[in-house]
Amino acid sequence: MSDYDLVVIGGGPAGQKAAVQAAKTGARVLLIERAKSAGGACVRYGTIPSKTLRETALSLGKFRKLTAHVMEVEMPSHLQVSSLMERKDEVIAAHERYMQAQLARNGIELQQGVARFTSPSTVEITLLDGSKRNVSSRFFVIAAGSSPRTPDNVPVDHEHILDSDSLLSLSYLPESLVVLGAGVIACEYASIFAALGVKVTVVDKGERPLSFMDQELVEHFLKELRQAGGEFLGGKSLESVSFDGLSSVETRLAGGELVKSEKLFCALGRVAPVAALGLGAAGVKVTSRGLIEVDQNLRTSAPNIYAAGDVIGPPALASTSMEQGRRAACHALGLDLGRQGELAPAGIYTIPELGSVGLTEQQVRERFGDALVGRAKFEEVARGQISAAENGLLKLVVHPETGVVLGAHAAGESATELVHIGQMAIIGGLTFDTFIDTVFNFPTFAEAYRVAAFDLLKQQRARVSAKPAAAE
Amino acid sequence: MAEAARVMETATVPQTVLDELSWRVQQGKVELPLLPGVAMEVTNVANQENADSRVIAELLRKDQAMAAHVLRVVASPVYSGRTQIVSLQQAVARLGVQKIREISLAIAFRVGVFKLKGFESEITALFQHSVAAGMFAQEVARVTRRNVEDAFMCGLLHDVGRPVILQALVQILAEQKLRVPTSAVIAATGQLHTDVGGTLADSWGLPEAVEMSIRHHHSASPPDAHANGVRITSLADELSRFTFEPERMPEAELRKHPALAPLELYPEMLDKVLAKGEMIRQAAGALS
Repeated sequence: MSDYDLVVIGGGPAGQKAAVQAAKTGARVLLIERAKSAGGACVRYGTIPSKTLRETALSLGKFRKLTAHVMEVEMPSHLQVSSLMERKDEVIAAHERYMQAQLARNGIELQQGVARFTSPSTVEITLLDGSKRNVSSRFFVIAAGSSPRTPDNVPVDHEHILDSDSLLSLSYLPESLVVLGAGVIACEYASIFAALGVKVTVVDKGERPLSFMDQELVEHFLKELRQAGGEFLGGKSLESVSFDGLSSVETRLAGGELVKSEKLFCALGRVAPVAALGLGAAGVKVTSRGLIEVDQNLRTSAPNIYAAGDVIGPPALASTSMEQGRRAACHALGLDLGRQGELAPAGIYTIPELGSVGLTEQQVRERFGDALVGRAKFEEVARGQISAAENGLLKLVVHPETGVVLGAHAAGESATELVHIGQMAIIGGLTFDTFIDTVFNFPTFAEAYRVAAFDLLKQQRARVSAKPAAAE
Repeated sequence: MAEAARVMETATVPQTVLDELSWRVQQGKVELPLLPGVAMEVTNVANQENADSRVIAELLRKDQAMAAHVLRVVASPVYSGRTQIVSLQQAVARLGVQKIREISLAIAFRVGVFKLKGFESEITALFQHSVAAGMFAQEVARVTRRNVEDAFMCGLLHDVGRPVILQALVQILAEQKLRVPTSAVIAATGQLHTDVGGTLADSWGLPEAVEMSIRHHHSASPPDAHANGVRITSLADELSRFTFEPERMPEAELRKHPALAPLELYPEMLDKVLAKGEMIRQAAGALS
């Protein structure tokens, strides 16, 4: 008989939800986590700390505006990152306490250590003191997360050249920062440091940042980055990065361009720690991109081993990882999976915040030959004015003929929350006029849906009235 | 002959001497001199028009006394008006090499060099130990993704009290015409160095993280504030000892260090740090 019904490797969002789901059915569950407490990179280096720092940066910038200059507030020029991080530490500690309590409440055993498969049904755990523990289980969920990718020409030393694991260990704000990459992590940190007064230069081989997002929203991000003194250098190939041994990091680009900065942040993707897991012994296949191969039920090539979260690749968002972990545990233990929610929203915590769900304007045009797009600027919404958040936009993308809501995209304050209303409309198959007939709280950002819907109505009426004329 | 007869010999450092030392520390009447070789090198480099700026920056990183003096100077309102300087690297980046060169030259002229006849090898060993501790602290911080600059500074300066005490004790003993065995002077230095070093760090305006590491690197339970910084320093202290005095710190004992678990430093991570040992030994050994 196996020691456990389910062993989960990794205590991040995917692992944690897998463990909790399994434990709720009475299964014997062991969660193996490298760190002292569950949470993974999300809690220690990712979502939680970066968003906490972002809120602090935003609050500092917004305070004066909101109090109509009744109270003047200035950020001390000698402000240290550690001061800004004090709140981050409190938030992390609170989150860890909550997760520990959740694990304990569900009777999940937590083992601190590093796991490696010795067979499809056993793992060897190396503990902190170097001693080993071997455990067997009927099923496994690999949720070992990911770590920053370090290209050969970027010598990350965690001192002058940092990655997302070490960036927030800075004890003082650098005067200048080069950000390599233009994905979610790169753009989020670029926004935060620019808002804190750091001269930020984002360098990427792509012409535009966040290429998977609606480009109208991306324009909002670029506008605010530039307003904060930042710069985006797109279409640039990286030659080399080096510390000059004195005071600057030198970033050399193809064509001889040289960008100097006090620090550099490398955000050129993430890799799954597959090499350390001993997957060969378990018969688990890895893709050519170094990710664990899974089927639609999150099952790997080994029938009793599942994988979820960053180790299986995109979208690698905490929200989707949680659901993957839960579904993996359900399938392993023969539980009803429920209807899979295919519509996952994307939330990007840049300044301004970006939220997106469903199809983009471009995708709707490609699929249906045309699209109707309703826009609402936050300056048209009372809440935007009250909250000093006029620089925002909601785009509602609907079917050109039927008016069925197909996508909702927002930039600005509460954008990541706001798109959930659009998400429900998409799931419910609603048409945009539902928003015209619906009463929203006033003043709220949700009111933007009504504004966007009226914009759509105007366009739809214009099309209808234009049709007979065209026929004549 | 008559002069020699007036010198009194004691087995331990008398309390009167320790009291005098304590008073001088409180009054700021103690000195942290430079190694003669370092003072000469700073003077040479600073006077050369075409000298490589990196040499000055490197000197700061390899000499605890010079590092402490520079941090003390840049913490003063003259330099910290616009930006609070909390690390050597930040000082070089913000003030510029030319300014750091001027400050270093002024320090070399002002503070003088050690005059410790009979303690030359101890002083050299102290400086080697501190630079190795700084470099090991840096490596521990790197593998655990903690602040590398802070760790280096804390490691480099963790024993800054020792040379100060040694210089002061030798001076007081000479003034009071007392002769004490070298081992007794070294023992007294060891007993007092955390408190004296902490007091000095506070009065010099060094970063709080450095002061905490100086005060608590031998404590079984570090204070909540800067706990991991203190742990890194404590471990780096022993890593340096293991490198230069393996008979005093065997590897098996090192691998049971109480800081390893709270720092989440797994055996393979410690192996990575230890792999840097020879490079660090050579870099620190170059001081001799």
